[in-house]
Amino acid sequence: MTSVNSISIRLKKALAVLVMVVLVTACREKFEADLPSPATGYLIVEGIINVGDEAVTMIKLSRTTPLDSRAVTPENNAQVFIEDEQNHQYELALSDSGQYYSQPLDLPVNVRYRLHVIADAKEYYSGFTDTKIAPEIDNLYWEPKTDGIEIQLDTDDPLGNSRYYYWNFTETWEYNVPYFAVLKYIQASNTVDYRGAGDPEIFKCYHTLESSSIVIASTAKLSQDLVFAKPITFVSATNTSKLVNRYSIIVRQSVLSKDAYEYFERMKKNTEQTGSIFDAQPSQLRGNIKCKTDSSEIVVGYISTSSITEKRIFVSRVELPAFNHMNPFSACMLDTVKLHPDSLREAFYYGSNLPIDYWTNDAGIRNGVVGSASFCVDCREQGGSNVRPSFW
Amino acid sequence: MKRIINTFLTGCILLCCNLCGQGQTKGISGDYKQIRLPQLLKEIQKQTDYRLFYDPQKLDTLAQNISFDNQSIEKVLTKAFAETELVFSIDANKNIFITRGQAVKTTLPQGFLPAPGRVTAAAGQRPIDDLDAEEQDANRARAVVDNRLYIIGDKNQPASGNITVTGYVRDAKSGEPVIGASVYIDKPRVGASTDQYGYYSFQLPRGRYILNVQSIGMRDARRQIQLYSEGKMNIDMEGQVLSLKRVVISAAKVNNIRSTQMGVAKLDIKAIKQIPAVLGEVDLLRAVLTLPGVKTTGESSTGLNVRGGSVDQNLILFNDATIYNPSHFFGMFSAFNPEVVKDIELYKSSMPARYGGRLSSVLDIKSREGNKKKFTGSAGLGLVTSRLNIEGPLIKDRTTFMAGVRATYSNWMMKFLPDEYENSRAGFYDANLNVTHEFNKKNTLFITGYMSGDKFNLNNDTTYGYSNRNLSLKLKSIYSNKLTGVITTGYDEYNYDISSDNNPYNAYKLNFSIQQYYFKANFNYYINNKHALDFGFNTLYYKLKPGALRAVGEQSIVIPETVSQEQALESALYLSDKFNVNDNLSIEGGIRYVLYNYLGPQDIRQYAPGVPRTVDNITDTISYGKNKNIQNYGGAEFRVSARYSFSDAFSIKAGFNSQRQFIHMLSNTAAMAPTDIWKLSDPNIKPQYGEQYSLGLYKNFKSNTIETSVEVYYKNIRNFMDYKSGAVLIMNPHVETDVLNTKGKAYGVELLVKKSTGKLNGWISYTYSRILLKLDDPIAGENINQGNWYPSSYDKPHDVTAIANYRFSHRVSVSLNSTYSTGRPITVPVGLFYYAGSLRTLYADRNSYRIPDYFRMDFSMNVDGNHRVKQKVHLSWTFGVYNLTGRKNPYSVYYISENGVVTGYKLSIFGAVIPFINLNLKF
Repeated sequence: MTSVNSISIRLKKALAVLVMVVLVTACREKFEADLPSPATGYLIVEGIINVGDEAVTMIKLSRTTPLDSRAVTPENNAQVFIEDEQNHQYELALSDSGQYYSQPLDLPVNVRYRLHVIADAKEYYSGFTDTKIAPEIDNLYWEPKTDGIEIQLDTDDPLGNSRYYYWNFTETWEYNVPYFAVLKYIQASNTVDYRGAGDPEIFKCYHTLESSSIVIASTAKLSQDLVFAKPITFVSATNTSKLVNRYSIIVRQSVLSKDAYEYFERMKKNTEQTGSIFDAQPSQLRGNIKCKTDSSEIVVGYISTSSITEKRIFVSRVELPAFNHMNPFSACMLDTVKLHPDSLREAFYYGSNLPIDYWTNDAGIRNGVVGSASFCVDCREQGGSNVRPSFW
Repeated sequence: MKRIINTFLTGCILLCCNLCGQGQTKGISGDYKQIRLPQLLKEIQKQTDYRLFYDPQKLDTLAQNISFDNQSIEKVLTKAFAETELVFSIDANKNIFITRGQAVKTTLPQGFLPAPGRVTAAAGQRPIDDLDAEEQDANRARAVVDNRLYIIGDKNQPASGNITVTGYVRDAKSGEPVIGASVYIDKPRVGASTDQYGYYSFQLPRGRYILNVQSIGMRDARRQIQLYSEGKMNIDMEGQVLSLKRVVISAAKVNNIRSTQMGVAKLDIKAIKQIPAVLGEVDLLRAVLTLPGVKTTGESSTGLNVRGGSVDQNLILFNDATIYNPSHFFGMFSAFNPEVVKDIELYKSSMPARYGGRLSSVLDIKSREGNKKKFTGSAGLGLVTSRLNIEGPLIKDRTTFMAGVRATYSNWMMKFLPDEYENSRAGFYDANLNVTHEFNKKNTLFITGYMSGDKFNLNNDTTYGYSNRNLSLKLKSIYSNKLTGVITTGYDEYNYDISSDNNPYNAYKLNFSIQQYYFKANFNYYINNKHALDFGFNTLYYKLKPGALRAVGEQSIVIPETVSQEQALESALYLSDKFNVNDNLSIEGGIRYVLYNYLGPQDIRQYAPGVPRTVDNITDTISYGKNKNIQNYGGAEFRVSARYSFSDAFSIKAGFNSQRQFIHMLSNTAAMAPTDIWKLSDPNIKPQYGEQYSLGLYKNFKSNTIETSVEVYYKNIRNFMDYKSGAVLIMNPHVETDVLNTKGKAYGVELLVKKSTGKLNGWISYTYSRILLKLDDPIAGENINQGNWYPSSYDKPHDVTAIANYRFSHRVSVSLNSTYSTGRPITVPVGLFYYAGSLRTLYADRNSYRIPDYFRMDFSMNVDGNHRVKQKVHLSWTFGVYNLTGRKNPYSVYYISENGVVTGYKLSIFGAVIPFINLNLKF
C-alpha cells in the first residue's frame, strides 16, 4: 500500500485502539438510529470488463434498499452490453440472480470499452475506460501473526503501467467432524444400518467464502511499480475454523484507472473505515456510470476494463505455528441409545442426533448405538459442502 | 474611639524602637534642602536631649526645604509637620511622641491600663480567636501602609488641569504584577484597571485622595495620596491567604457593567483548577468549553468552536506566541501546564484592534512571572502526567525566572492493549521557561519559551509525532506617564511527522511544518480621562512546508516528493480610541488595516474560468521568482463597541467586528487531527472574511455579587472552507481542487447568571446558537445538500452549563459541573447497496441527522493541607468523578460493513464513571 494513502487509514486504526483501550472507558455499542429511509432503488453496477483470453465478463446488477431492510435486491430484468468505441456490442445474459455473464470473449486490448445497461426503461452508460493488463501475481504467501496468519502478496509491473491494483479472493477450507459415522438412521424403518458407497460424505466438508472487503493498493508514489507484502486478508485461527485442517485461498488481481482507484478508496473509507474519532466525514460516491436521461440520478459502481490474473495457495495445519486453535466441536459428546425401537425413535427420528456406531458389550454383543448431535456427525450442518472442489 | 486606641497602641509599640539620643537642651539650627522627614528627625534628635518616638513607616515621604535658627523643639516640629497630618506631644520626661492626626495623650485616663507595666497589643483591638500571630502582624503592617500619606509629584510645580498618576500594582509576596486590579478613587469616581503588567494610569486634579485598589484574590488596599504633579504610585497588594480556594471567574466585579467590551470571558487558574477534569488532568481548553458560546465536536477533542467558528478560526496565544496545535494525545488533553498559567482570556466578540488574523476568537493565555522574592516551586502527581515547576529571583527584585515541565508516563496504559499492540508507545511533554528582567522602573524585558512534543507509535509500525516550539522577546517600556509601549518579537513553529518502516519497500517519513517570525509594536497613549488610544503595527512572516515525503532505508522505493514551500507576509496597522463620552456612555472604536502578500517562489495554477476547478481544467501554470509578490489581499477591519450604563448595575452594549483570515487548517475529519495541514491563502484560495454584530444587556444584583447578562450575535462568514467528497489534503500540490468555498451564517443568544462570591458560587449559562453553511461556489463542481443551508458538524443549538462550587471550610471545597447540549449533526446513510461482497451504506446529504443529546455531570473535591503561610511544603489533593451518571454520551453514530453485513454503532468516549485523584505540592 502506498505510504501516503495509508496514512489516514493507519492513523484511524491507531486512534481507534488508543481511544478504546487507553481510556478504557471508551465504548462502542450496537445502535440503530431511527433514520428516515426512503425506498431509493438506485441501480448498482459491479464488475470488471475482462479482456483476458477467452475471458468471461460477469456484471452484477442490484438495487439499493432502505437501511432497515438489509437484504440484497438483484436486478433481474435488465439488458447488459459491453460496447467498444467502434460500436461493437457484446451482450451479457442473466444467469444467476442479478448476475450477467458474457460468452468467453477475446476482447482486443487496444480499444476502449464501456458498459451499457438498460433497466427499468432507462439507459445507463459507463464512461469509456482505458484497458489495463494485469500483471501476474509474483508471490502469494502467509505470515504468522498473533492468533492467525496474514495472507500477503507481491506483484510488480516492470513496465510501470499498472500502478492501481484491485484484488478479490475466495477462501476455501476443509474441515471434518469429530466422529466418523459408520451407521446411518433409516427413518422409514426406524432402524440403523451401515453406511454404504451410495451414502453421501458427511465426515469431511469444504467451506467457501467470497471476500467481503475492498482490497486495493497504489504504487503511484513509488519509484517502481512494485507491491510488496500487501496484506490481503487475516485468517484467524481462534475465531474461525478456517485453519483447523487445510486452507486455500485464490486471489484475483486486476488493474484500475486512477479514478477507479479513488472511487474504491472512498467507498472503503465510507463503509469499512468509518467510525473512529478522526474519520473523514462520509461522502457521496460518484462512479463512472450515468443515466442517459438524468445525469443527476445516483448510480453506484465503477466499471473498469482489465485482464484478471489469479494465484492460489494452500496452507495445512501442520505448517502453522502452535496457535490456540478454535475447536468448533468442543460441545460434542457421545451418547448411547438402547437398541430398542422406542429409544431409536426418540434419539434419531427428528434428525437432531445421528448414529455413529454400534455399542458392543464385553461379551461382543451389540446392545446399543452410540450417537451424537447431528452437527458433530454431519459436516454439512456447519454450512460447508461435502463436494471436494476440483482444485483440492 | 478605635482610632484613639490605634494611635495609642502605635505609641506603645514605638517604645520598643525608640531612638535614644543624648545631648543638652538647646535651640535647634540648620538649613536643609530637599530633606525628607525621617532624615530631618534624626538631625533634630542629634541636636537635643529629647527622645523622639515615631514609626518611620508612618512618616510622610515629602521632601522639603527647611531651615531653623536656634529655635525651640516645638517650633521646629510644628514647622516640619506643617504640610502633613503629623502631630506631636511632649511628656514630662522629654519624650516626644510623633503620631498622625491624633496627638498622644501624655497622661492616661484613670484605670485605662489593665495593669501597670507592659501593654499588650491585643488589648481591646478586635476578637483574635481566628487570627494567628502572623495574621496580626500582617494586619498591623497593612494598617500602617494604608494610613500613610504618599506625596506624588512636586508641590512647587504649578498645577494645571488634570495630573496623570501611574504605577504598578504588584503582589507583595511574589512581586508578580496584579492584572486587572481596579484602582480608583470614590469622589469623583475615577479609576483604571491594571494591564497585564500590573500597570495603571489615570488622571485627577491636584488634591488629596484616598486611592482604593481591589483585585480578585487580594486584600483590598487603600493609599492616601497627596497629588501635586505627575508621578508614580506603586502599590503592593497582599494575597488573601485565608481564601486559597476562592473561585472568581471573569474580570473584576463591576467590569462586566462598565467595560465597553462584550463577549469577553476570563478564567483564572484557580477557577480552572476547580473544574473537574478528565482523569484529573487540569485542562485549560476544557475549562474554556464551559463558557457560553464555546463548543467542541466531541469529548475527544479540545478543538474550540467559538460562536459558530471552526477550530482554526481561533487565535491561540500563549504569551504572544501562536500555538497551532494546543493539544496532547491527539486532542485528549490540552498542551498547557496549569502550574505555569496565570489566567486565560477569551475574546469572542469585541476583539481588540491589536489582534487579528483569525475570524472567531482570540484565546489569550498568560503565564505567571517568577517569584521575585524567593525560590519556590510546585509539583503534581496525576494519573496521566507529573508536573514540576520552579521559580525564583535570579537577581533579587529585578530578574526572575520560572521553569515548568510536564511529562506523561502514559506508556503504562499501553499494557491494556491486546498483545498484538504490545510494542506500542505513547508519550508527550511540554516545557516552559520564562525570564523577566527589570532594567529599571521603566523598562522590563520578558523572555518566554515554550515547547511541546507528542509521539505515538502503534506496534512499531507507524509513528506519529508533532511539536510546538515558541520563543518570544518582549520589551515593555514606559515612555512617559501617558505613553507606554510593548515591542514583541518572536518565532513560532509547529511541525509534525509521520513515519513507517514496517514494510522496507514502502518505508517513508512525511514532514509538515509552519514557521512564523513576527514583530509587534503596541502603544497605549492616555490622552485624558475621555480618550485613551491603543495603536501599533504587526508584521508576521509565514514559512509553510506543506509536506515533504522521503524514503527511509536503502530498500525503500518511495519517491521523494515535496509540495513546494509557501511564504507570505501579513502586516497590520491599527488604531483604536476608547472614548468616554460621559459617565454613562463610552465608545471604543478601532480600525485595523491588514495587508497580506503571498510571496514567491511558487508555481500558480490557472484554471479555466467558470468551470469546476479540477486538474483537467488547469490552463496554465505561472512560476514566480523568489520574494516576488504574487497576490495581495487586504483591507480595513473595524472593531467598534459602545456601552451605555443606566446605573452602576445596569448597562447595554453593542458592537461590530470584522476580521480576515489568511491561514486555514485543512481538515475533513470531525475532530482536529494531528495530520491536519494548514494552507496559506493564495490566488486560488481566498482569505476567509467574517463580520459579527452583537448586542448585550448586563445587570448586576446584590451589590454586584450576582451578574446577569444576555448577549445576542449574528455573524456572516465568507469563503468558509468545506471539502469536496473524498478530498485529498495531505501531499496534494493542488489542494484548491479539493476544497470548496462556502458561505456561513451563525447566530445565537447567550444567557449567563453568575455568582462569583460567597461560599456557594458558580454560574449557569444557556446558549442557543446555530451555524449554517451553504455552498454557493459556482465553480465547485459538485453541490452539497442541493445548494441549501446545512448545519456544520458542530452545530448544537441548545446548550446549558452549570458550575457550582461550595466551600465547606477553608480546606475543603466541592465542585459540581453539569452540562447538556443538543447532539451534533452527522452524515448518515440513506440506504444500502451490495458491492464487493458486502452490504454497504449509501450516503447523500451531509449532516442530516443528530446524534442523541449530550448530558454529563462531574464532581470534584479539593482538600488542602493546613494553611500556615510559613509551612515549607503545602499539600493538596483533588478527588473527583468525571461523568458521575456514567451516561454513555455518543460521540458518533456510524454504520460499518463487517464480514459482509452492515452494523450500526454508537461510540462513546468517556462512557463510564471515571474517578480520579491528583496530588499537588507547593514548596
